[in-house]
Amino acid sequence: MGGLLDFLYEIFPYALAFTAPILITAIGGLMSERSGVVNIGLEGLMIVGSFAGAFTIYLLTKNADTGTAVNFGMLLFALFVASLSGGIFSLLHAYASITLKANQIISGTAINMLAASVTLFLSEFFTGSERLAVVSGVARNDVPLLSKIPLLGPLFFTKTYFTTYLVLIIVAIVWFVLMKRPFGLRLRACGEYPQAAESMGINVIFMRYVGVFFSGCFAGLGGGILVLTYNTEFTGAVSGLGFLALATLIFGQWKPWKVVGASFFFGFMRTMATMARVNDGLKSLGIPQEVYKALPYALTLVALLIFSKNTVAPKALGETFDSGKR
Amino acid sequence: MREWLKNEKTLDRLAPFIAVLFGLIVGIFLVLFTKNSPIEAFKYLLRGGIGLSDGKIDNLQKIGNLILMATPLMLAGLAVAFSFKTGIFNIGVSGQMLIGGLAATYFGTQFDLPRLIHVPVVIIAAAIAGALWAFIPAILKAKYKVNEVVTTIMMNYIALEVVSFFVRNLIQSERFDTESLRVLPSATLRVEGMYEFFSRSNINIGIFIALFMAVVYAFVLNKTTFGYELKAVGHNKDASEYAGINVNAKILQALMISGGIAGLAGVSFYLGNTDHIAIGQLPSFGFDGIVIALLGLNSAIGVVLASLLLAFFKVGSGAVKASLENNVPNQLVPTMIAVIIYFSATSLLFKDLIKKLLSGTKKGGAK
Repeated sequence: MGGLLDFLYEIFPYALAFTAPILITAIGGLMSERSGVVNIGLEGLMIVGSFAGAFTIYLLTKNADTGTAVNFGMLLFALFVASLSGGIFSLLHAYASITLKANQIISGTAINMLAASVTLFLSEFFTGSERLAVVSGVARNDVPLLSKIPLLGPLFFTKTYFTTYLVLIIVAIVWFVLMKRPFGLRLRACGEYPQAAESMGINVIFMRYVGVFFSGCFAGLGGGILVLTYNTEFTGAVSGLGFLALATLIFGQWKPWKVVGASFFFGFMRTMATMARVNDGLKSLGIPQEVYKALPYALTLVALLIFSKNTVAPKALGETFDSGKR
Repeated sequence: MREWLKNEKTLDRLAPFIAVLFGLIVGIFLVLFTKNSPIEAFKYLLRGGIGLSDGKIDNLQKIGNLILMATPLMLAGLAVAFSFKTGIFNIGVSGQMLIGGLAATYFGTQFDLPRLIHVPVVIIAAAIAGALWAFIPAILKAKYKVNEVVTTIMMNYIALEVVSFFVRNLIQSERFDTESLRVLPSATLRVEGMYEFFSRSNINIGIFIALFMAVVYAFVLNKTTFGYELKAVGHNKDASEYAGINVNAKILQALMISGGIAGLAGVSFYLGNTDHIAIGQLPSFGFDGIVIALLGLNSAIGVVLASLLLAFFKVGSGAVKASLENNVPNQLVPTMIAVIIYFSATSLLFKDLIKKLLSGTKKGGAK
């Protein structure tokens, strides 16, 4: 029993670190999809964020002495830039899929391809390399006082990144605004019955732009967190985390708290996959690392099958808004 | 001329050219951005793409490489286009390619057969494996109405892990942990004669498979009842159902056939362009295939031409990077391709724009 607890103590901080970028990106996806716009460009928007974050740190430390550490202010600024870049980039998707009524899947695919190539292009153009390492990212700290709580302390408050709590705060705000405020009701109405929403005087086009813009901001933040915490290098890819976030959103049935649960579960699986090669306890189980990695995607398929009887997705998801249609 | 341009069909056919034009404009802009001459860049693109220098083509190697690159692109494009025709969006071509490639690599490394048997075996294995990989999204779509976009994306990432598992446990290379064994000479799609003729290019019989599939594609969709029914389902499901077509069966078949073609793209890439399969790499062909299907307007001839165009850009870009005075980032051509797909998605804008310009009077005043 003690062995299991030690194992959990070891794995939890990593699982939490993995969860943060997946969760915030999935919450971004939730904003977009609840407003009625499918966003499979999350992967690309994360890439944009990871480049913007790494590049900001690169610019800030380029002329500094090698000894000077990256300070907290710089990190916050880099995360802000990452978030904003993702938001601005996502407007391309918004313009195509809302204003021009383009196919949202094709537009999302274009975003993914465009993000990967443009960021690598810029990286090579400005720094001479397609890889951009972050000198030093977010430090892992024990939370004062809270880390002393028995059981919970070592699980949730040791060796953590402050970004994890930042993400949780944002998620709480999103939940409050989306589920408890009139603004959230309006946004969700655009994803369910846009024509009805319009007849009540809601500007559907604007609300959908807001949804997509925030999905870009949050996915960009996710990419920024990724590159400033455990990835520490921009490589023009986020190894499918954007699509994992999409799976999380579906597995969490487009509901904020369920998405939190789903993303922690998926983050935990990703950690297990990494640990399967090195941890003796996991090695003795004999489950190949691939199983842990594939499980989130497979479970999402199962979930889709189970939900298929009574659809839980926003009703107008993926439909272009035609004001004249009734 | 004006009447011709106002025609909806003409505008549809014009859309891919406009998208490519925008891609080229962005390309020119990016070349200028790197302080190079676009004219020089285009010269080197021709040299790298088709081997044209000083107005003549010295050897056929570059053309061979162009066709080599176009082969998996063409098959991936056909796979996507086939699904589009039935109103399905198969975004899982990359995963189906991987599984097809895995099956082909397995049969190509573990069995020692005479060449005349081995090659057909790996090709058929790849097609079947690709089709079977598409079965799960297909049955979910046909029977349970689950959106195929999400399921095929999930299957892409599951495919990555399946490939990783089988390569590590069954056919791992002795030299590299992340690669499979090399396929036996009896199973490779490369043939000596083509290698010699195209001055040592790896061009292979995959191109004949691709062209054959393009002909079959056109024949099935245009000349058979089966193809007619598939297109009918793509146009209007309810009307098809009413007309007595088994819509669910057609959707299942269409997605599996699309997966089978994707499997062929896999064998052509992993046993032709390379000679092994690597862990952890989702091929980009599935997404290029979407661009190609859009540019080719889902027609066989369109797909063939669009894949040659994309291959020309991809193959030629090496020479552009190597020869221009100032460094041009590797991603010049991928950026152009991404711009092309963005503008293909938004072709409606241009259609409306052209219509407005031609009609003179402002339409759409009543909102």
